[in-house]
This record gives sequence, structure tokens and C-alpha cells, in this order.
Amino acid sequence: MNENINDEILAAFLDEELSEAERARVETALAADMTLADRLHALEFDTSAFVKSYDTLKQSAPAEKLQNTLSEILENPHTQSNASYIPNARKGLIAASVVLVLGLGVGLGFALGKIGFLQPNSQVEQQIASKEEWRQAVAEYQALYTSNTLNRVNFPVNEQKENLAALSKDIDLEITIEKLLLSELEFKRGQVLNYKGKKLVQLAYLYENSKPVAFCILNESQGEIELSPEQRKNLEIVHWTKNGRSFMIIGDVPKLKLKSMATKLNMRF
Amino acid sequence: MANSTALGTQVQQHLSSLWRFALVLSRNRDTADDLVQSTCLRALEKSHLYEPNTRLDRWLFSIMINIWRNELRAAKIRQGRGFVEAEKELVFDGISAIETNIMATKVLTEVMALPDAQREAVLLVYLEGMRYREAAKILDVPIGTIMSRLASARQKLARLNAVGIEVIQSKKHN
Repeated sequence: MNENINDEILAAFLDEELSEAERARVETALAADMTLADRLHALEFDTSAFVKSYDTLKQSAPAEKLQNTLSEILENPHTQSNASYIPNARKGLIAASVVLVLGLGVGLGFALGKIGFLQPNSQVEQQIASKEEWRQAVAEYQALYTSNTLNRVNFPVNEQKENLAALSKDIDLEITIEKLLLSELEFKRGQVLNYKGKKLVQLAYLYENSKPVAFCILNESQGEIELSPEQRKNLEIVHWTKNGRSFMIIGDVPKLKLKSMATKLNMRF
Repeated sequence: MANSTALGTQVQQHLSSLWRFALVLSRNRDTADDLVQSTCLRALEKSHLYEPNTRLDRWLFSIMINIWRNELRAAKIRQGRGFVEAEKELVFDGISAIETNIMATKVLTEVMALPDAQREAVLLVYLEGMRYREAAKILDVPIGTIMSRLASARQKLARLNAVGIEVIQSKKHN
């Protein structure tokens, strides 16, 4: 006879959400119907135990990290404004494209300054600018990496292989874990970035467990360039071009070591 | 009306609460970090919409739920991983399974195992102590929907009573 008192009503009764009249109706029914009382019992639990359990979670909150995040937002409201949600995993890629665009400007300025023109006024000059600016863009991006950027990146080998297979297709060049293997460097991840509409593959390593190193491949080059060292953004670079592609390795690594790494990569790619 | 700097100072006091709310919502620590960040950002942008003398934490929760539902959950599903791992992580990392926390571990594991809709209702009503009406408003559903989600959740959570007591008693016997 109490079929019209369903579990929703019983739950609301336990939660003290019923009106006086409804409450009275349930109480009367409970007193007269043991089955209904059993059904009520089957929905009961100690909500205070839940609240206590929930309280323990506060202790797990990364308080300092959250505080730093909020401080950053407060300090730079404009740079962060109109941001809707961007997952951390994708921030790197977005930062990359932003930086690459910025890098383009900076790189162009750098290149033109070096050859003494405000505006490139010949095809040759434009080519020189173009060759250099991608390395400047990569350097700008790489300079944003901290010792922690790659620390927690640990993909299982099978995922790495799948990813590298996809990257290989992206730039039509075979990239395998074996070809990337370098002593003293731990390979962390590969990703494809967009540089002026061309694909740029970045293969990130850690040197001495803390220093980020990147081996980058751009599907564009003019002519062949032998291994050449240079420095940008306080980072050592060795770059070369081969078979229509530009390569570079960059990081805070002693020059000679970086050269030896570049030599190995040059032989494999 | 509130200016964003003043609001920022107030938000600071709720960071840990926001994070634990985000953790139950998303079942993933990294996502919880992201959720707190996006919520703070959105709250400061919309600070003019906050009515002083109302509960700031509740306003922040409603922002977070919106972000979670409209932007983040979809991304999470697209990524297609993280949920099972997150449950384990919560139990073994979030809360240490020491004797005093056996009950907490069990309770939270059970809450995490609820389907999204029920978990959201439980989070708002039983964990955050909201009235049905307020939870319905934040989740943008009729009160009847809250009632049915909570009744379903109660059927599962009530079973925990027996299990929880059993565990604590067997500990005492040892």
C-alpha cells in the first residue's frame, strides 16, 4: 500500500528534504509497514563518515602549487585572460606554435640585423633569413623548457613506438627509437609542430637527468650544410641540412659532446 | 560586484577545497590541478558577477562544474584514458591507507566508482552539504533528477556501511 513511496521519497526523507506533510505521511507509513522500513534501511548510511573522509582529501591538495598558480594568474591577468580551458598536455603544443610565431619575428630581426638590412631586399637575403629563423624559433621555444619540463614524461615503449611511427609518416622520414638512441641522453618524447605551415618534428631528451635537449627536423632546406655549431639563447646548437631537410640539436650540453651527438644523428638520418 | 584582485585574495582561502572538489569531480589529480587553475582564471575574469556576502566557494564550484561539463570532460573522454588509473592513484597516493583512514579510503573509493551523474549529486549534497535545490541549480537539472540520482547512489553507498564496519572490527580483533 506504500508503493507510491518510492526510493526517491525515502532518500529525500533521510536527507530532510521533504515538506512537513510529506514527512508526516512517510513517518506514518513507516510505522505501519515493516517492508518500507527495510527499504529505508537499505538506503541509510552515515553521511558524517563521508564528510570526514572528504576532509582528509584536503590534506592531499598540492597547496603550494595551487598557490603559485593563483599568484601567476593574479600577476599576469592580461596574458592569461580570455583563456578558456586548455589542458596541460596541449599547452606545450600551443606554446610551441605561439613561440614559433614569435620566434619568426625575433629570428627575422636577428638575421637581418646580422646582414645589415632592415628589410630583406633580395632573394638571397631572404633565403639566409629563412635558414636562420627556424633555428632561432626553436631556440626560443627550447629556452622555455625547465629542468622539470620533461622529468615526469614517461611513455611506455609501445606508445613511443606508435608515436614515432606516426611522426615518421608526418615528415616522410623513418624515425625509430633505435635511430634516436644516444648515450648520455634519455629520450623522452616526440611531437610534431607547425612552423610557417611546414612540419617540424621535435624529439626531446634529457641530459644528465635534468637538462632538456631537443633534436629537431624541419622538412625544408636550401642546399647542403655541413655540421655547424652556433649558440642561441645561451644554448649550444649544432645544425646541418641534408636531403632537403634541416636538422638541429640544441641544449645546455658541452660543445664537443653535442657535436658528437650530432655526428651520430647525421649518420643515421 | 567585486574587483578581481580583492576576489583573488578571497579565492586563495578556498584553493584546497576547490582542489578536492575537482578531484572527486574528475577522479584525476592532474585534471584537478587544471580545473582549479581554469576556475580561478574564469572567476577573476567574471569577478563582477560575484555577489558579495554570498558563499564564494559555492560560486566557484558552480564555475568549476561548468568548465568540467562543457570543456574538460569532453577533452578527457577524447583522451580516452585516466579514469581507472585515477581511482587507484587516489586510494594509494591521495590518502594513505593507514588504519585511521581505512574508512576514508573505502568511502572515497566507493564515491569515485559512482557514475558521473550520481557522483556529482553526491559531491554537492553529501560532501559539500548543499540542499537539493542548490544542487539542482548548479547542475542545471530539476530537483526530481537530483532525488533520483541520490536514491540510486544511496543504494550503492549504503552497502558500504556493512563493509566498512566489518573492516574496522576485524582490525580490532587483530
